[in-house]
Amino acid sequence: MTLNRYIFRRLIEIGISFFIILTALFLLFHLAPGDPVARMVDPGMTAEDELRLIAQLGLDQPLWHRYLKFVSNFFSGNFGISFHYGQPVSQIIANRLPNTILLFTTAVILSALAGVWLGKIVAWLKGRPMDTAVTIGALVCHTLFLPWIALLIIWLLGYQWGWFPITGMISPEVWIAPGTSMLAKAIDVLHHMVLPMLTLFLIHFGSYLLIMRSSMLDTLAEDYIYTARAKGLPERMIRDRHAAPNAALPVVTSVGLSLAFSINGGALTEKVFSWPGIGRELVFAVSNNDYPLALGCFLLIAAVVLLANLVVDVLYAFLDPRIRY
Amino acid sequence: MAKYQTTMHRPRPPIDTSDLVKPSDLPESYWQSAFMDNWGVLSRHTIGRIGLALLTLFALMAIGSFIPPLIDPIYNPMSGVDPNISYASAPSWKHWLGTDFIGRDIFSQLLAGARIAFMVGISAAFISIFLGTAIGIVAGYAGRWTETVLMRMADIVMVMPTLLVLLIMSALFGQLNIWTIVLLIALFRWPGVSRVIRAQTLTLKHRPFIEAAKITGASHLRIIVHHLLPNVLPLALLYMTFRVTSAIVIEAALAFLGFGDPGTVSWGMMLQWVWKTGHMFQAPWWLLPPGICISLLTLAFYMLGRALEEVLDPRLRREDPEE
Amino acid sequence: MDCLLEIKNLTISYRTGGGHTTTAVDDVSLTLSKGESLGLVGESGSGKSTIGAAIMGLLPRNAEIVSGEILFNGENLLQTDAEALRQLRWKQISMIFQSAMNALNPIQRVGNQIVEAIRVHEPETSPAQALERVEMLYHQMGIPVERLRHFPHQYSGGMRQRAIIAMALACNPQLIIADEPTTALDVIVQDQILKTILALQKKLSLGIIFISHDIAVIADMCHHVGVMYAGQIVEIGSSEEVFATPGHPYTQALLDAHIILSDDGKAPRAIVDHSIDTAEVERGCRFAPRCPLVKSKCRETAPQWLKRSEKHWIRCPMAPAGSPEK
Repeated sequence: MTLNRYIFRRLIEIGISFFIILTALFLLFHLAPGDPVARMVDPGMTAEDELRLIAQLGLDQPLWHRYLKFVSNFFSGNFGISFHYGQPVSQIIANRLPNTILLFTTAVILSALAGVWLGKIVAWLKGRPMDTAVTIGALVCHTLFLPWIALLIIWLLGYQWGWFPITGMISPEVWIAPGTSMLAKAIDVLHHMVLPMLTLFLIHFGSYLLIMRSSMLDTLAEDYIYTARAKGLPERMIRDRHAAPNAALPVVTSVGLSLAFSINGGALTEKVFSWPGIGRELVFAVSNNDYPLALGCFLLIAAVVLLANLVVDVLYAFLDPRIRY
Repeated sequence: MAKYQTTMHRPRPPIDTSDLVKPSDLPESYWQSAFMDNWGVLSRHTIGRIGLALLTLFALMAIGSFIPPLIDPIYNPMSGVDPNISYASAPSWKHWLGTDFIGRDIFSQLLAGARIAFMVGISAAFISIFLGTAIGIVAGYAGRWTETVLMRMADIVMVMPTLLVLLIMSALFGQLNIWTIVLLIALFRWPGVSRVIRAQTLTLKHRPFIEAAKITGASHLRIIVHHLLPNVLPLALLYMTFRVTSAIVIEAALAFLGFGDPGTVSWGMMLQWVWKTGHMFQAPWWLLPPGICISLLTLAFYMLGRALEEVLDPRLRREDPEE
Repeated sequence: MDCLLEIKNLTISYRTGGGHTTTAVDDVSLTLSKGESLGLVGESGSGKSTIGAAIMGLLPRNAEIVSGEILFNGENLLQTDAEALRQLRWKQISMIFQSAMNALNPIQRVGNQIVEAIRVHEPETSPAQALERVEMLYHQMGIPVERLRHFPHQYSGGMRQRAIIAMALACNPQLIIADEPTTALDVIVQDQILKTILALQKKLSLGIIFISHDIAVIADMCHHVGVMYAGQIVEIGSSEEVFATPGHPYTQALLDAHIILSDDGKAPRAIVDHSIDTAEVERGCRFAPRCPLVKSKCRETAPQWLKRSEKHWIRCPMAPAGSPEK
C-alpha cells in the first residue's frame, strides 16, 4: 500500500492504543484506594477554588460522566492544576517538553549514526583484533547501569576535571545578563548538554553497534553480496553501497522497539543531571504526590513514545523500497 | 510450481552434520536429546563459559550474603550498626569496603544486593516468561480474533516505559513492596516473549505431529501442553535470560530514584544512598562496587543468553567452519 | 581457434567443521574456445557450480584449491593476485545467475546496479554514457526502458532474469558463466530466455559455460557437454556425439530419465535416489553404487579414460562400443 495509506492506518492504530492507555489510567486513578478527588484537586486550595475545579473536572459526577469529562479535558489540553507549582499542568509540560526532545533526540540520533557506522566497519573486519576490541567495548557499554555511569561521568568530567557543569540546562548568569547573544545562550545550553548526552550516547551506542554488526553478518550471506563480488566491485563499495544499507534496516526497527527502554534511560538521565525535562518532572511529581502533574507527564510521554514509533515505522517504510513501491 | 527461487544457486560448502541436534517429533525425547547434544557445544563456547563463571561468582555472593550477620550483628546490611563507627568510612580490615553513612558495612550490603538481584531477576523473568508463553501459544494456536486482540494488547503494553509505569504505581499505591515490584515488572515485560512464542507456534501448528494429535482426538489443552509447549520451551528459556537482566536493571533504577522497597538492600538502593547523602565524590569504594556488580551481572546473563542462542540455533554455529 | 579457457586437472576441496574435508571437484579438465559453449550437467553436489565459482575466484573461504590450473587466454587465474582478478571479473568474465529473489540488491534501482558495473570497470564513462549503454542493453533484451528506475521486487521472474543477462553483458565480456539461469522459470519464459542467450552468443561470439541439471536445456544450447558426477567429469564431448552415443552409464541414465514428447510411450527410468557422499567412495568408480552395469572390478580400481573419438572421452571401461542406442 502507498505511504500515505500506511501512515493513516498507523495513526488510527496509535489513536486506539492511546485511548486504551488513557482509559486504563483513568480507571487506575479513580479506582485505586484513596480519595480520587484529593488526587485531582489540591486539598490546600480554598473552598471555592476547590469547588470550581471539581466542577470543571467533573469530579462530582458519576463515573461515566467523569470519564467523558476526563477524555474531553485531555483533548482540550486541560490536565488540571499542579499541586506543587500551582500552575496548569499543560503549561508546565509545554515548558519542559522541548528540553526533553532536544536532549533525547540528539542523543538517539547521534548514537544510532555512530553505532551503524562503526558497526559496519567492524563487521567487515570480523575476527580481527579491532573487531574483538570494539565488540567487547560495545558489549560493556550496552550493559552499563545508566545512573551509575552518569554518576561516574559527573564525578570525573564535572567534578574532578571541572570541564563541564554538573547540573541543569543553563547557567542563569549567562542568560540573565543583558546583551547576551543568541549564540552565547545556545553555546551555554550545549555546554550543559554534553554530560547528559554523553551518558545517553554511551549506553545506546553499544546496543546499536551490536545490532548493526550482527545484521551485517547476516547480510553477508545474502545472494546479492555474491553478485556484487562477482561484478568485481571493490570491497569498500560492496560494504558501503550494498551490505550496509540493507543491514541498517533492522537497526531502524530496533531503535523503534527499544524506544520504551530508552525513555526510561532518558528519565533517569534527566533526574541525575537535573535537566529540566518531562522525565525529571514526572519523578518530582511522584515524590511530591502531585497527581495531576504526574498523570499529565505520563500521558504525554506515552503519546510521544507512540508517535516516535510511528516516525520510526514511517522512516523504515521510506527507506525500504519494497514497502514503498 | 514456485515461480521464484528463494535462494540463488551457488556453491555452498557441504554441511557437517556430526554434532547437530537430531530433530525428534516426540516431545518427550526432545528435551533429553537437546540437552545432551548441546551440552557439549555449550561447554566449548568461550563466551558462555565466561558468562557461566561470572554467574557462579555472583551466585556465591548471594549465598554468602547470609554469612556476615551470623558472624557478627554489626554486619547486618540493613540494621547492623558498628558501635565505633556511625559515619561513612574507608575500607578497613573490619569493614572490607568501608561503611555507609550510618555505619553499616558496605561489603555485606553488596552481598545482600546479589541475593536480591537474583531473586528479583529470576522471579520477574519467570513470571513474565510464563505469561508471555501462555499468551503466545494461545494467540498462535487460536488464531483470528483471539490472536489479533492478544497481539494488540501486547503492542500497547510493549510501548509503555516500564520504569515510568512503576513510578505512577508508586504514586498511587504508596511505597511499593519488593514482591509488588517484581509482579509489576513481570506484567509489563511479557509482550516481547509472547511475540516470539506466537511466531514459533505458528510454524509448529501445521506440523504433522500436531495434525496427528488432532486426528486422534486430543483436546486443545492437551495439544498445547503436551505437544506445543515442550517444543516452544527452549526458546522461552532463552528469552528468560534476557528478561532477567532487564528486571534487575529496572528494579535497580527504581531503587536508585528512591521508590524501591525501603526494607530491602539492593544495589540500586546502595547507589541511591551514596548519591543522596552526598558521598558520591568522596567515597569511590562505596560508589563503584554496586554499579560494577549490576553491570557485570547484566553482562554475565547476556553472555549466557548469547551462548544459549548459538546452541539452540545450529545455523549460527555452522557459519564459520574454520573455528 | 585459440583457446579461451582451459582447465587442467583442477581439484578443489572444502574444509567442513570438525576437521573434515570433502572433495568437491576431482581432477577436472576441460577446454573452451572462443564463440563456443560448453554445458556442465549433473545433479546437485556434483561440483559444477564450484567450477564456475572457481573460474571467477568466488569460492567460499573454506574452499581450498588442491591442485590444477585455470588458464584464461593463457593466464593462470589461480595465480593472479586479488586486485587483478577483481578487475578481470565482469570485464572479461561475467556471470549469469539464477533469478533468485535476492540476486540483485533489493534496495537499489536495477538500472543503477548495471550502471555501477560499467562505471567501476570503465571509469572514463560518464554516468550519462553508461546509462545510454544500459538503455541499449534493455532494448536488446526486450525490457521496457522505464523499468530501469524500478526495484528488483517489481520485476517478474523472467524480466529479472533478462536484467541479469543484460548486466552480464554490460562490459562486453569474452566469457560468460551461466549458472542455472532458467531453473526457476516456467517453461515458456525459459524457452524465450534460452533463445535470447543463443542469439547473443552467435552475435557477440561469446564463450559460454552453461551449468545446469537439466539435460534437455544443455542439449539445446551447447556445442559441447561435460557430464559430471560426484566431482568428476565422467563423459565429455560434443553434444551431438554424447547424446547420440552416450558412453557412460550415468549419461545414459540421465537421458533415460528425461521424457521426450516424441517418445514411443516408453516409461522413464528413474535414477535411484541416493545423495552423493563424496567422502565415502575413495577408490573405484564413484558411480558404482548406482550403476546398472557395475562389475566387481569397478569398485576396486578407479576407471580410466576411454577415447571414443577425437573429442569424445568417457570414463568408464564398461561402456559398450560405438552403436547409437534406441
